[in-house]
Amino acid sequence: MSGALAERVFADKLEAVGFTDLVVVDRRPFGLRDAARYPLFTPDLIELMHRLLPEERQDQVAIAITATVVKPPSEADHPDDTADTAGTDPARAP
Amino acid sequence: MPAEEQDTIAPVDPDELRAEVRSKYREVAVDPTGEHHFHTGRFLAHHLGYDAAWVDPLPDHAVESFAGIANPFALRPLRAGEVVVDVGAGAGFDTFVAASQVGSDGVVIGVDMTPEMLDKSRRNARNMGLDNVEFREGLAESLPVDDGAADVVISNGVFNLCPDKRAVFDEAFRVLRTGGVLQFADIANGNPVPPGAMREIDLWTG
Repeated sequence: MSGALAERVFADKLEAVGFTDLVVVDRRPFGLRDAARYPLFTPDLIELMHRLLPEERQDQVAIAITATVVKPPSEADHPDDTADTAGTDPARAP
Repeated sequence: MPAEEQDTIAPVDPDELRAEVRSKYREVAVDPTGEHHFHTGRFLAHHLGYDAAWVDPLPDHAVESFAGIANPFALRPLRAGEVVVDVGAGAGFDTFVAASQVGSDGVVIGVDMTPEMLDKSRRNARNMGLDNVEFREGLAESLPVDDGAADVVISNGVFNLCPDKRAVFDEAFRVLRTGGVLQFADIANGNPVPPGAMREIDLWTG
């Protein structure tokens, strides 16, 4: 779980790559009971987390998010009048 | 570490992290119910809100190793004929759900780095007689897919395990066509992870 990003950082990184139109469809508290269903949390780790985390935090140690982003048209998809408009979208070249 | 700098490249050894992730998912592939305390498969899929119409027709072997975080199809079911790439496909559960949505005119390419998961997903696809799915070995940071080949990229619970998120997002962007959609489910933390925790591989995989 140390590799999980803060939601804002997630959004910033997706935007930095070029994605747009982020829609977070769902945010769900991810608690220890959820973690216990997830393969990478061993029983020992779950037990340790139960011991170390305050009870009020055990129902939300992270957030499970479901989201979508879109790859927008590039400048090459909107050439100006003087540009050569022949050819296809370079992103779809074989 | 400032949030802006969080995890451009993870402060753990990428190969060591991948080996650990492979090891744990190998267990899930080979023995999905064995010594694990966790619930995988059909129970988890229903718990996460997958439509029974997608899950119930799948045979147990195609469902039992499912270990996703949420339901990446929640906002947007796939359309018939779409080309889909499933990043971190595991034993193929989301790939098979996607295949049922895109139909025979579509294609779903599942990418995974764990050989045992690939063996299982390919075997499941053969047993189900699916000819619109294909599984390829590869990393999320270097997808074995052509530029602009995909209408949709899906992923479920994988990004948090990847040491180089920027490379992962770059690759999703590269393989999508213009106007294509990345739809994913993953774990997010409410706050940036303390640098000390980011250096512990055990805390990445758990």
